[in-house]
Amino acid sequence: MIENIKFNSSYNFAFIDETTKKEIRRKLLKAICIPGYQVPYSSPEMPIARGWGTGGLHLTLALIGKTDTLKMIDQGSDASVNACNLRDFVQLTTNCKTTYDTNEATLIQTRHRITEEKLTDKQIMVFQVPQPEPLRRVERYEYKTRQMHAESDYAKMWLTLYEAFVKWGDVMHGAGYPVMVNGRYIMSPSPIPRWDVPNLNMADCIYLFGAGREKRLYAVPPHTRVEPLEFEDVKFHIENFKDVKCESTGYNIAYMDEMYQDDGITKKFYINDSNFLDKMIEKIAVNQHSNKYINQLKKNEQ
Amino acid sequence: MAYVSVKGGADAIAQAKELVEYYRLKDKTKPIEIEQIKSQFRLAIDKIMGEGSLYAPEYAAIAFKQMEGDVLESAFVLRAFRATLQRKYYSDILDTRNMFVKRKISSSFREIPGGQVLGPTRDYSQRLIDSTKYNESEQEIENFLSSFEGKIEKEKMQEITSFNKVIDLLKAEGLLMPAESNYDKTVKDVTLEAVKYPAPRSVTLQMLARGETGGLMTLAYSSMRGFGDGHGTIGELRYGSVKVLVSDTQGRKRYIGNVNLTECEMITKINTTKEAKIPYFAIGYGLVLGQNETKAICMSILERGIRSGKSENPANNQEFVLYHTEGVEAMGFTNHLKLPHYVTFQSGLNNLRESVKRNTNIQDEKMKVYKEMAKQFQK
Amino acid sequence: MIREIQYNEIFDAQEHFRLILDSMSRPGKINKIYNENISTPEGLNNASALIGFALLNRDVGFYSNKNKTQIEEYFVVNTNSKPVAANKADFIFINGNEESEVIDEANEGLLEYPEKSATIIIDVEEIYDSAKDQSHELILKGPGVMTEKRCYIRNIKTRILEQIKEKNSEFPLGIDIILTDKQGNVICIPRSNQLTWN
Repeated sequence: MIENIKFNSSYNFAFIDETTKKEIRRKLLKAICIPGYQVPYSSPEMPIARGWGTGGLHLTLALIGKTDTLKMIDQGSDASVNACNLRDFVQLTTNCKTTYDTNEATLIQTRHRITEEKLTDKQIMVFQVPQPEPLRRVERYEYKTRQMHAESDYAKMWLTLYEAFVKWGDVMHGAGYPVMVNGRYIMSPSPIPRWDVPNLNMADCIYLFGAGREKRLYAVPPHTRVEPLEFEDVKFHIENFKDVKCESTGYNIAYMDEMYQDDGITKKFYINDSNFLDKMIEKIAVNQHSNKYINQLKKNEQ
Repeated sequence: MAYVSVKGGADAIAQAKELVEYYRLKDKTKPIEIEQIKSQFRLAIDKIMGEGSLYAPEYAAIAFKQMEGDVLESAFVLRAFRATLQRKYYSDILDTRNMFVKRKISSSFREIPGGQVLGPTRDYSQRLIDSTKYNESEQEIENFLSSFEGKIEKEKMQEITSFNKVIDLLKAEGLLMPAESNYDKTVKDVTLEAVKYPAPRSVTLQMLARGETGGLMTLAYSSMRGFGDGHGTIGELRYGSVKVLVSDTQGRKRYIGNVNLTECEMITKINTTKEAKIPYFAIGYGLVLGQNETKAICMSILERGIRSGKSENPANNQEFVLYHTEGVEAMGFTNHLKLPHYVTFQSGLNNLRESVKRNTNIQDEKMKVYKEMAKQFQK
Repeated sequence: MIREIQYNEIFDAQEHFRLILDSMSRPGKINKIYNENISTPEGLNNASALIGFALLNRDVGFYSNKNKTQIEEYFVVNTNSKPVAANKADFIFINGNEESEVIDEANEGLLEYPEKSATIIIDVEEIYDSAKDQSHELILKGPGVMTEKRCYIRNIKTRILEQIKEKNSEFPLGIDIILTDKQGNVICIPRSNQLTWN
């Protein structure tokens, strides 16, 4: 029978062993040097299921230190069930400080949203990515998409966007709208809504992306050009909330959640980013992201 | 209650965790001992160790108990545990020719060196439900054991050693296809780096050995039914235990224990080409932890199919087979659909509504024109 | 050779990595990496040793041509990494004051896998933010830099700067540079940036 001592082993700081951390760190540096390029990495199994944020976790755990303050969000919410689970896990293995306050965090792990509040050069945002390959919808084999990236052969992608326009009158990509990074690589921004996409462009913070199941990581360094794919005559546009208002704040220049009421007919809208909503309610000043789309909305407002 | 509330997610998780533990225990039955699971659920444990890619029967049994008997979930727990273990040594190459054979059969020959050894198998018994198992008593178990052990001729036990393989016979006669000249012999470790396609054979073998039994079977079956190379012949299927040795820093070989393995060598015919006119036999190879014959057989079929390089069939396509038989990843991604997706959904909804609006405008335009035309006609 | 015991493999490595990441993300930004408790061999800046500790292990190979045996032994003992030929190395340690063919030989990756390329750590005399005598003024443009970033280096051969520029002329192929000085100041030049100098 096994000795008891075997069952009492404690885990390393930040769970992952140092060998793997080093590997992830080396690859993160390469990812920064080649913005938008997907670096393959070992992606060891975690006690969290594949598809539930393992890639984000690998990055967060390779980055985090004793002085970090962690914010963990899922669909814009700090209190979403999976965010709670992941936050607990990181907290348990690092004893780090955690927060809901966007401004206070040094490290933010997110699924499917960028905060409404603008991030600073002291902050790193880590995205959980389900499908890192923006070309997967047009080419199913990995060795082929890799070649397409190598040769900047993006004709198939442009064709698909064009076909969508011909068929439906618009590029129908919703969340995860493909972007061109630094004029070289087409990149999937992870399934963030189009509302968030312009905030990747020329940001102050570092954006890092981890796709655990597909074993890829990539990066957008600060002050890097990130442009949504668009045509001369068919422009990228963000989601439209101009006819609705947040039920709690009356504000509508933010990404909204749509909630059906119990009667199944009436709908109410609320600001999606839970910390931003809290701050609006409590009338705390927030430095919101600005970009040409949001600025236009604010101008129309006046 | 909504599963994403503004606050209270942490609370809900804690309670859900407690509730599922309650479900495991609520009928107040006696706790199952790990030792019992290990010995009485031997095949489940073997499957968990194989798919979890960690040979640790006790830990597999704990996982099985913890996961209420879900084999794939147990394999997942084992894999996560495996990832935290330090890799101090790589074992020397296991030679299955030195296997202490518990079972070996060949369908290609009536007799093979050492004979056909049926060993522990239910292959030839009727799958009738045995209701006497409902009330199995300790006394009955003891009676069975003493009668069984009484029949064993102790002095004969010593004679059983190891046996040559069937493929050695074919090889000696020159009937096996020589290895392809472009054969990539690089040894990768799929748990330490991301797989790049096309990947060397070492990657195929490792990933299939870690693959999910059901997934492997689905694809291998498709290959046998007509979407692949057809029906091979089992050269040899053997199950038994093999010694594991590691070399220490001074280069001395150290014995660290035995593992039980199932090995399958599948004989298939290959297509001839202009250069290679002889329709040699080719071997597909399967090796899995524990006794899991279905998986070993399917692995050998898929391994051969992938090497044949004809990729129009899913089961022959390396990328397709290896990505999609990875059960722990597939299960994780399938279940991630349960996570909230309302941000993504809202974005799609927004697009769709605009599209509907655009079309309604076009429809309205068209209707106006039609109405105009209709008026003109009436005039 | 000294096995450094005043170095924490978990927390020091983490802290230094974050500083390297910050400098690599913001080309030309100076961060300080220094540990007075380690005794590096002759010809290896304190910061260069710490960068080695943070990033090297048994999975990668390194190359060093200055004070070769001592520096090799130092990294082998402290990181388990292995010395390899310059064209195979993941990390290359050189002295900015000496011209070297090594940069030309350095691995610049493949179009499909451009990350399989060398990172070069160059020891220089001094790195600073504002112009001083006898220094090269580096001008960086590209990802991580708002418009352009200027920084100043003392004791780096112009030939080295030329070699870097040549190596990085076919993005995404290329090499990534970390410069360190005696005081522990560190700046990075990723291949994505355009490099010019005065």
